[in-house]
Amino acid sequence: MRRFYWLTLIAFILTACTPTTETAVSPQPSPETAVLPTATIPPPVIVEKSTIVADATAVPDPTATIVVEAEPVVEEVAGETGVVSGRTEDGAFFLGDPNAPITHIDYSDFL
Amino acid sequence: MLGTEPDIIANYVETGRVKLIFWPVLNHGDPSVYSTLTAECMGQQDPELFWVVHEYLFENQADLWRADRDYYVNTAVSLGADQTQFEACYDGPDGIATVLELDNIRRQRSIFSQPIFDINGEIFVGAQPYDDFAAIFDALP
Repeated sequence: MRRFYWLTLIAFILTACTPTTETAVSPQPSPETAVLPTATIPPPVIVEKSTIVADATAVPDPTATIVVEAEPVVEEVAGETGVVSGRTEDGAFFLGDPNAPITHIDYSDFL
Repeated sequence: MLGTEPDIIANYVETGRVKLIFWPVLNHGDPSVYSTLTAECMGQQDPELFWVVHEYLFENQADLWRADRDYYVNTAVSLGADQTQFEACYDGPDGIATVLELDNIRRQRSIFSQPIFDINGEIFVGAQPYDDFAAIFDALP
């Protein structure tokens, strides 16, 4: 029985070693298949995850960005009379309380 | 706006009831452009200076037709602007770009003549007496 066992084991080892030659042959198609999926699939998964994380983080950011953009544009300065003056978000100059209930736009020319 | 604006400012702007916005309408060629550019460059230094020169330009409207660069530089400096900064703005691309952009925006809003007044979204065409403005302001909540 022991001889049969060893013969079986040797036969198994030989059988296992034989595919090595096949593997050596198949590398040509394998690399293509292996490289492409490996290069294509994993990175997108990782990128998508990081993008989603970035997007999720970015969701509040645009709000912050809008505020940041609006704030510098609207320069507010209180003059000697205490009346505030500055620029609107559109870039026009205003005079008075930015939160006044009435907004009066004067479309005019100096001439 | 020359006649009514001081009263509107005194009675409605300074009391916090009205926010007044001046929006340039460049309907008279270069004199419009350069007078507005002067106000823009003053305002870039200090928004309060915009309103100072705004009043001055309306009061000296007749001079603006033949005003040149020296006129505007002298005006700006006499009203408190820093000359170097003013000239850099007046001669540079940014100030004029802002002025032309504002003029472009008013066209997009179908504003083609002046003066036109937008009071909380309601449009009034042509000069209005102070009492009319006061009545409109008083009627608003």
